[in-house]
Amino acid sequence: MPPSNYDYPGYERSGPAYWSKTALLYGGVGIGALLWSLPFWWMLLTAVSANPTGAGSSLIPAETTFANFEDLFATQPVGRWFFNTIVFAGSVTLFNLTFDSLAGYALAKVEFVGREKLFLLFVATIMVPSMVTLIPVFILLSELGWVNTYQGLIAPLIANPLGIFLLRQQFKSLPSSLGDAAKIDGCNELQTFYKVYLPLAKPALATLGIYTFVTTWKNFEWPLIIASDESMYTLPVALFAVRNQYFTEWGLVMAAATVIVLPVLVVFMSAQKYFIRGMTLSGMKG
Amino acid sequence: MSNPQDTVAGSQAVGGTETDDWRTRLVEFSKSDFVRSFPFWFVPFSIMGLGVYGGIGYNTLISLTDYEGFNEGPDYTNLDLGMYVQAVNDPWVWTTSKNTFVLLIVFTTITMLLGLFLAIMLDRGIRYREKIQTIYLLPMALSFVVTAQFWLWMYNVNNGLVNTVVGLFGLGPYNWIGDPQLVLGSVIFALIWQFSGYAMVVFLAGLQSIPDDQFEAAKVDGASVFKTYWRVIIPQLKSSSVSAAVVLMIFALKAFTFLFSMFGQYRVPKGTDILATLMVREAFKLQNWAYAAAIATILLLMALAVIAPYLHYQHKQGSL
Repeated sequence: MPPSNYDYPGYERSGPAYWSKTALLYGGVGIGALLWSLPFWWMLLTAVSANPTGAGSSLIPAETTFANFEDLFATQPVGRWFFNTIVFAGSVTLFNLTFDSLAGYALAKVEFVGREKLFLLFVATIMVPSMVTLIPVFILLSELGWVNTYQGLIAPLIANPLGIFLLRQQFKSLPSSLGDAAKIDGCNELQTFYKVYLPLAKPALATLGIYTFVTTWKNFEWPLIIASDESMYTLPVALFAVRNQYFTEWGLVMAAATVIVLPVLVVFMSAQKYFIRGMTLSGMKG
Repeated sequence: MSNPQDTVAGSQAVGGTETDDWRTRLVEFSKSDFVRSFPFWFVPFSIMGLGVYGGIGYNTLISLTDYEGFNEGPDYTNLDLGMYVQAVNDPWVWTTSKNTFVLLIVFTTITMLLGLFLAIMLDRGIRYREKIQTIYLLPMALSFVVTAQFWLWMYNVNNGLVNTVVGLFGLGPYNWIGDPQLVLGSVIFALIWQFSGYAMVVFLAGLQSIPDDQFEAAKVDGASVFKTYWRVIIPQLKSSSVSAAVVLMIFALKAFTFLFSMFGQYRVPKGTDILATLMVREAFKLQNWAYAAAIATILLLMALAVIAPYLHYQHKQGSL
């Protein structure tokens, strides 16, 4: 039975009307949830089936095998792709935590001329789809010789307006008296930031860190353009390449998909709270 | 906080000679708040400024040249609007713009409605809410490449699940991906599947900020459940709706990744070619850099037309 504090009109807690409504509610949500999780089941099923082309007719595998995974790891440099993806997502996350919190702090707690204008300039960049600047950034980086390098992968993503926005809101919510007290004690601006405010912003930092890690892990368009060499592939680009190479071998393709999805799924499941906060952030009022 | 301008004015009065004045000003400037704040925002701002504002400027410049091919750089001596004229006269640009627009509107509308419906269901004190929420959100955590593979197989003509289900009702089999009449709908359906969890979470956050006593009040007044939601609750979700809509629209504009991985390397996706896929194909397959840059400008204008009113609204509301 639903918790008692949900006492809506027309929601009597007994009688056939109540039970039929409850059944409808749970039935609807349940069928939806089934539809939503079906593709994951499908992916796992295909990855462990010996003969996946026939899997369309049944959702329970006749026999399971790990041959697809063995094939994948034997024929493809999966370890290298994993390493690339971890370097890519890890560095982007660290850079974002550093730069976004610095900028967010300045925009919230340091008073200077033109601060509001600077903030609007930052926020306005949210409006620009990354596709629009794809060509100029690619041309610039290829002139620097950064195609197929880690710095080329990472550099354009080291700061993010949404992260700056999130941390600015967080720092704004902390009392200014803390900083004033620290300055009286002889801290300079950087020490005030580092010693007083940063430790208090941990929830926002966790949100930003996890959100950035997951979105960078699954980023496709940028690694696709800048990392064209097989040894520089990240996992999503690698999956795309495997798909193009073994178009008909669904078992192998889905095994690759499973390898990519599992780490993200673990991070996502264990830190869902932070991920959701990252997603709803643009809808939050400051 | 003390105002450095006061001290500057003071030392000016005492200083006298011009060199002294200039020096004091420099010293004072170096101690000013602006300089003090500099180390905080300079690096992120220059990266983002260069990447976004510099990028847009450079993109516009390229679009005015005739740059194409591999090696020689763009020729900036002969700038004209030739690429834009070519784009306006290209019927394919109009087709892709139309597809972009249809995708944007249909995808955003249905995703929002479905998300709102799911949020209301979950807000009604349902058990295992957290777990159900996780399931609906899972697709959001996945790369488009992965979901594109799912759907490619789900839509498979011979043994895809969609045709199996449709077959139960004696229909089909349909070629969901191969048929230009059906493919845009199929793609939109897959994208709705991926993003309705996001809309749900945004609406759920909005619903939870509405105090329970409003339900009580409506109940006392004798309003039905439907009326309560329609008249009392949904109007309060305006802020959530606007922000969800904008995020969804930005996603729709760059549905490129999904289409690109669904249809494979630069193959033309018949019936679902959008501006973003056209742009990437022109640039990175055909090396028509200038033409692709012109298409990117069109894409930017579309994005601004959609999102600028939102930011204006948020700013007016005081949430920025």
